Amino acid sequence: MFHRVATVLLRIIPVLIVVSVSTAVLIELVPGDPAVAVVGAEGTPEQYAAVRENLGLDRPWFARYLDWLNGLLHGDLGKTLVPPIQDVSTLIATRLPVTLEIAVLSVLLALAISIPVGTWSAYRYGRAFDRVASGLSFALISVPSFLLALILIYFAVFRPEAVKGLILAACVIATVVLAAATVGRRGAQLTAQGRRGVRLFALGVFAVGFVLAAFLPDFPRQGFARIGEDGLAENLRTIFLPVLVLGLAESAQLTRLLRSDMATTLNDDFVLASRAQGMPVRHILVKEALRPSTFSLVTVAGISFGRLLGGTVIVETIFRLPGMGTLIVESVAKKEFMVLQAAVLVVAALYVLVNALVDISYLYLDPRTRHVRV
Amino acid sequence: MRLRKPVVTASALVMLLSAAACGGSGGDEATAATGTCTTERIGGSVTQGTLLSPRGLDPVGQPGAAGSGGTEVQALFDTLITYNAETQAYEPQVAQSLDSNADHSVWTMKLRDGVTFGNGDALTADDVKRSIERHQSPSNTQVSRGEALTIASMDVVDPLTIRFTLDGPYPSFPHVLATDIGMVTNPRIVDAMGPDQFALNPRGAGVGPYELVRYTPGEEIVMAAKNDYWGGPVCIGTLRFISISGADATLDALRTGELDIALLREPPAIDEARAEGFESLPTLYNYGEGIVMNSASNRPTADVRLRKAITAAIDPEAINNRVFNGTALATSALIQEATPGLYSGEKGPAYDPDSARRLVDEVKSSGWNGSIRLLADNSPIRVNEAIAVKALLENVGITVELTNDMSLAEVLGRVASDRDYDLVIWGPNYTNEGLWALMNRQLNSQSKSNYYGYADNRMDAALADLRAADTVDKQQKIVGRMQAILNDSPVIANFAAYEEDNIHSNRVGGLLLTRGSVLRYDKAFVTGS
Repeated sequence: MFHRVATVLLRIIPVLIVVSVSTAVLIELVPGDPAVAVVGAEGTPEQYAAVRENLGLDRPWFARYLDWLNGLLHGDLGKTLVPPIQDVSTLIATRLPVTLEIAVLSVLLALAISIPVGTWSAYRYGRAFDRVASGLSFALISVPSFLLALILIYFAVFRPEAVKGLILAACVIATVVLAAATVGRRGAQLTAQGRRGVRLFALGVFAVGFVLAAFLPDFPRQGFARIGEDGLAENLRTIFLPVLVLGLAESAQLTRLLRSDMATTLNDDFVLASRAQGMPVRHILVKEALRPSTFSLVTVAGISFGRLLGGTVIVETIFRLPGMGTLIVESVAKKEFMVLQAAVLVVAALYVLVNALVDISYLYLDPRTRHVRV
Repeated sequence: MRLRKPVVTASALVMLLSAAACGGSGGDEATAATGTCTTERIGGSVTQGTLLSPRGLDPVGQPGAAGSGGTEVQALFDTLITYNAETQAYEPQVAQSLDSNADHSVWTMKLRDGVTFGNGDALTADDVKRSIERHQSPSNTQVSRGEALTIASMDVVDPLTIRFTLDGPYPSFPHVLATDIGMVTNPRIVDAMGPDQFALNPRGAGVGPYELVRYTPGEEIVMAAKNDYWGGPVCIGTLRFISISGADATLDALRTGELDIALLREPPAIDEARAEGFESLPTLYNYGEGIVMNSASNRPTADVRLRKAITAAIDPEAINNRVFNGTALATSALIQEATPGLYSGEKGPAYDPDSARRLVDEVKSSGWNGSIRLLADNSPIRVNEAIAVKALLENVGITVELTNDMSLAEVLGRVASDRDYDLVIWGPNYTNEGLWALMNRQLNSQSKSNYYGYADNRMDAALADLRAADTVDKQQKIVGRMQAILNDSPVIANFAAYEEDNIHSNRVGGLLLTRGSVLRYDKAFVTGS
């Protein structure tokens, strides 16, 4: 197993070399002159030429790439070209945690939604819950993330009272429906314990709705509060909407994926055997069927995480988040090749590392893979 | 089930009614805060939105505009002289007095006694000299170097007195000390840190009303009020600057209260903000938007007849209606009539498509193929302007090759660095404050920053006279003369002056507008929380 893990990790190195060379070539193809960004619009031709010479902009791209690589191997990522002059490593160190936090929380939110919804949809395949969940998933997949962001901003930022009213109304309706399910003919089909459980759940739903409606904070239109400066509560308040946008978008495809895999697994012989033995539904779904159904889920979640690490530029721009996405786009515009090389390399390294961890996770999810020859 | 449909219908109705009943509230309609900072008003914080993140917090190396760090460095460093936008006059700020000799070629400045930098060092005349020398250094690639070089020599007379000997008579010399050049940086801190680190952390190096708390480039700048500011109590405890791009996002932030103040440039956005009751502190920029014509010898527009044809082909009102929904200050003139003091009544070129066609035919008969390249950046407003301009030019027989998919940075490179363009949608932006410095840099045939390729002896002479003009009346007459020169030998087919507006909420009062849309916070205050 150690050999498998080491092999997977070693594959990262050639990938990173290819990525860094490709980035250097692509930067060269981007039009623009960083000397203008450095000097400004009122410079003289001599000043522009002097800056190009000082910064090595008149040298061939591969010479600049080799200098950068030499610096990287000595732990020096260089400095920005355009003032304020900063260490590239410091710049990335301030931006990366923002993107990491949002990517992690978005994927966690997506999994928190997709696992229960996908599992129950598979169990209730073709029934009302499955149809509603599938419809919502298709809708979320179809809506572009920037449009979803603008819709959420419109309601959460500019119509917060309407949102609170809707939440309260939805919880009241859910409570009434759940409570109604414990009386009359439907209620008679449940055991006393079952009726008590549903009523308690209904009470819980109402309480959550009431608390949310009463204490839901105002969400900012944009900006990011760092934990170290403004505290965890303020940090979560500022990232709630972007995480919701990205999490909902990712949850839609993860839900569809898990639903399909789980529906297949629920028809396997070992599940039928568990049913025949009288195992409870919760045991069958969570302990028996979920684990073998998660290969695709884990793979796609890893890919999603990597994609979010590259920064969802549109969401970052809409919410003015100082993340890696906007850093990369700004660097392209200014032809800050030192920043671009480093930022793309960091993102690529994390992406490859995450997918390597996904590969390694298969060894845990399915022990049979431990004995497969590479 | 029998109950399902009624339950679903009732649920939907309840949710709709809840949402409608709990609709968002409108903004409050408080009256504007008036007065100035007093000890009773100390407290509160303000967040200002800026257009661009500054190039660090060192006054040396700044473009000098409010949109890219001007207000921020003003709050940290103050200026020796300040420009009062209301009275249109220069006033001593950190300096106690600034007096000139008879021909305005030698100026003597006395500093206020007892002014200290943030680290406690006393401000001296030697500090002023060393600070200005930084602006004069060849390593300064910004506009301020040219302006600082109008000072030929500086003599420290005593610890609080410095004498400036200029390179010639310059009655408007106070303008120089009202810019970034007049922001004194503590030379001991600069030497200890080096310019790169200083630009990231200039704590203790300024005499302004605020001290830096936190600077995260591209994110935010946070400052705290000093309690020993030479100018008295500083009311607003915390200033925060964040850059927000886009007028819509900026307006949203003002409406939600995330921003208290923001700089807007787009005429429709300014119009909307004013209509919603926000307060306004505008600065007028002449030659705000137009078509700059490259007069270099290898360009079709080297021919003055073609430049006159282009100016005659442009209808400012049509562009105003098409692009700005009529909210811009449409004009072809150098000085828009609302400009205080400088408007002489001279009109810009008239819209005359018939004359334009005649001139175009003349130039074609001289060998020109009738085709010209038009460059514009890919911002939505410039794209719309370019489309309108293209239509107007093609109306008079000019074939236009339009390129409008470049970023502003790329267009800047093509124009300022490569000088590879025929026509470009551009705004030279001349304010009435410091007009000579702005115009001379771009229109003087000897200026190395003249990327228009413009060379006209009459304009050079007028610029020399403008520098030496010591009254507003004289400046007005010279500017009138310049208009006549530009009508005869145009460099820009102007179609709008524009305003930059510091839009702010009613809770902020006491803001002082100075040169270039820069705000002073030393007398500002907030009402409420």
